[in-house]
Amino acid sequence: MSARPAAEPAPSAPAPARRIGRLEVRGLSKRFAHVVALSNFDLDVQSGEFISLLGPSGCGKSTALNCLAGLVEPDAGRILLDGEDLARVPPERRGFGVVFQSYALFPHMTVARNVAFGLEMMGVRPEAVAERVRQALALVHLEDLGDRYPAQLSGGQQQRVALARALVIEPRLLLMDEPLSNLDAKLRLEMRLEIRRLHQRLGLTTLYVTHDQEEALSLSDRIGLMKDGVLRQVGTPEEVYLHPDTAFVANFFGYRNVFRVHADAVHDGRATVTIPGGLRLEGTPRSGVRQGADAVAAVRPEDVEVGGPGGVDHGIPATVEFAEFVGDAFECSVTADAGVVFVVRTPDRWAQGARVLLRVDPSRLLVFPPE
Amino acid sequence: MQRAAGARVGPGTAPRARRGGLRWGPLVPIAPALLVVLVLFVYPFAYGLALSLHPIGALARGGMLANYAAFFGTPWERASIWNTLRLAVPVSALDLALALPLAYRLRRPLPGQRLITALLVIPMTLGTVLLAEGMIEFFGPAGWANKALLALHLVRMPVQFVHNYTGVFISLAIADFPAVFLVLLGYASGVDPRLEQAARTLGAGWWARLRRVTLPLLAPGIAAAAALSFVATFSVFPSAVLVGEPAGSTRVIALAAWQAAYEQFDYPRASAIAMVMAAIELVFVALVLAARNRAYRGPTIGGRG
Repeated sequence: MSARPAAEPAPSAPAPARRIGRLEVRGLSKRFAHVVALSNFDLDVQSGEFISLLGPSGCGKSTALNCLAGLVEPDAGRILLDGEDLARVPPERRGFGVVFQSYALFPHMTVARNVAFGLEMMGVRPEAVAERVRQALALVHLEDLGDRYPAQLSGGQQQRVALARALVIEPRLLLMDEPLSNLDAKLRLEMRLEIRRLHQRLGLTTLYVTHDQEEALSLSDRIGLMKDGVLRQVGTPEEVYLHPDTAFVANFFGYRNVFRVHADAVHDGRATVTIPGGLRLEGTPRSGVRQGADAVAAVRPEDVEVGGPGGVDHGIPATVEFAEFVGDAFECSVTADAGVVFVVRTPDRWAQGARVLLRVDPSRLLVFPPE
Repeated sequence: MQRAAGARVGPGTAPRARRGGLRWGPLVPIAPALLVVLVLFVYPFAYGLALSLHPIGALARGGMLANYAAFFGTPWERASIWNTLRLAVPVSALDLALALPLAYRLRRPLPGQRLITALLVIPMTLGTVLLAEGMIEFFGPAGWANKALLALHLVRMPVQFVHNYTGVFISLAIADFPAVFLVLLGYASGVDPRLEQAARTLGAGWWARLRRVTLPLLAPGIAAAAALSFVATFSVFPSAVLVGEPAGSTRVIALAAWQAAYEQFDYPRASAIAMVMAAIELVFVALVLAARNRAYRGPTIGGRG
C-alpha cells in the first residue's frame, strides 16, 4: 500500500476512517425449503484482509456471500461491522461492493453509466461522479471504453467493468462471487493477477467465493473451507494446504489418495492403519483419530515414492496400470497386490504392467477421523 | 485442395446465381409466410383501398375521395373515431398498468404461480359473447355487483353498469388483459434478476431500481403489449353492441363500417371507414414503435450467463 506509484491516479482508495475495523459473522444460518444451505457460520475478517470461501458447488459459500450482501435474508445470526449488526439492514444501505459471477452489468447503460450508477445513488455531485468514474476505469485499464455498451466488450473487459463498478463506491467490504469462473484459462490467470494487484493497492477487506483451490491459494490471506453449509477449516493457504484438519479439506487440496482405514495403533504422533484388503501403512494422525476405530488416510500422489524391484529395498509390491504425462512428471495409476489403487506422481516413465515397489513417507500420510 | 474444391463447387452454383442478379434461395423458407401475408393482408387491404376510392350511389359524383369526405363530414360518423379512442386508449392503459406489476411479480417461480397465471389467462378462453352474457347477469340491476353495493350501503339505487360506456369498458378490459399480461410476462421473465440485485448493492431503492433498471429493460415489452392492446381494443365490435349503447356512446368505428356494409349495403363507403380505422391503428403502432426505438434495445441479461 505504501509503495503506490506517484504517476498513477489516486483512485478509489478508501479514506482510513471509512475502513472497516473488523467484520464478525456470528451464527449465520439459512435453510431453503428442506436444505440447510448455511449452518451456524462464524467468521472473523480483519481490516484489509482477503479471505476466500472455498468449496464444491452447493457447499453454502454463495449463500454465505449473499447473506453478507443482504440479497438473502439469513434465518439466524449476526453480521457485525465494527460492532454494528447489519443482518437486517437492506443491501442498498450496506455500502458493500459486490462482483457477481455473471457480472450483472446493466445492459442498457454504457460502461461509464454502469460505473457511475452507485455514485449517483449515493448523491455524489455530477462533476465529482465523472471524475471518479474516470479514475475507476483507469484503475482497471478501461479508460477508453467508457462509451461502449457491455455487449460490445469481451468477457475479461466486462469483468473489469464489474470490478470498477464495485470499487468506485469505496465499499466497506468487497464481496466477489466466483468472478473468474466465466473466463477462459488464460484470462482467468490475468484477471487473478489484476484482482491481486487491486487488493494490494486499495487494501479493501475482501470476501471471495470460489470453487478453484488454485485461485484461493494464490489470492487469499486466509481460506475458509466449506462443505454442506458448514465452515470446516479456516487458515492461511499454507496451513490448509500442508496441514488439513479433515479428509475433506485434504482431498480438496490434492490429497488424491484417500482410503477408509482402521486405526490399529495411535501413539506418539504416529498411527498404524490397515486398508481393507490387508495393506498396513504408517502415518501421522490429525486430532480426533482414535485407536481401534475407523479413520481416513490420505496422501498426495507426489508423496508416494515409486521404485523398481531392487531400487527400494522394501515397499508395497504393485503393478503399474497406466501412466499419463502431465508436463513435468508422470502420473501413474498403480494397483498394489493387496488390491488398493494409488495415484502416484513420478519423474520416471513406467511401462504399463511394470512391477514396482511403493513407499509412503509416514510424515506425509495423514490420518483423519472419519467424516 | 483449395482449387479442387473451388472447381467442383464454382461452375455449378455461384456464377449462375451472380448472373441472375438475385438469389431466390434464401426466400424459399419464408415463402409460405410471405404468401399468407400477401393473401390475407396485402390483397384485402389493396382491394379495400381500391373499392373505397370508387364511391357508389349518391356519392358517385363526389369524386374518388367522396366516401372519406362523407365520413369526416358527418358529425355522427366522425364521432365513431372518438367513441372508439376513448375506449381503446384508457382500456389499454389500464390493462398495462395492471399487468405490468403482476407480470413482474410472477416472472420467477412462486408458490401457486401456475394457478395464478391460469386464472389470469382464463378470460382469453371465454370469447366476447360469453363474457357479455355473464356481464349482463353479474352487472345487471339485480346482479351480484349491484346486490353487493346495495348491501354495503355504498349506493341507494342499482348502478347501471351495462348497455353503456362502462359496460364496454369493463368487457374490453377483461378480454384484453390476458394478451397484455402474457406478452409482458414473456419479457419480464427475460430480465436477469441479478441486475436488480446489483442495483440494490449499489444503493438503489425500489423506485430507483424500477426507473433506472427494470422499466428501461421492459420498454420493448411494454411497447409490444401497448401496440397489441390498442389494435385489439380499437377494433372492438361485439361487446360494443352486446353490453354497450350501439346507437349512442359506444357506436365504435367498426360498428360504423358494419352498418355501412350490411345495413346500407354500401361496400365502398364501408371500405373507406375500414381504411380510416387501419390508418389510425398504423399511426398508433408507428408512434409506439418510434418511442420504443428511442429506448434501449438489446440483451436483458448483464454479461455472460
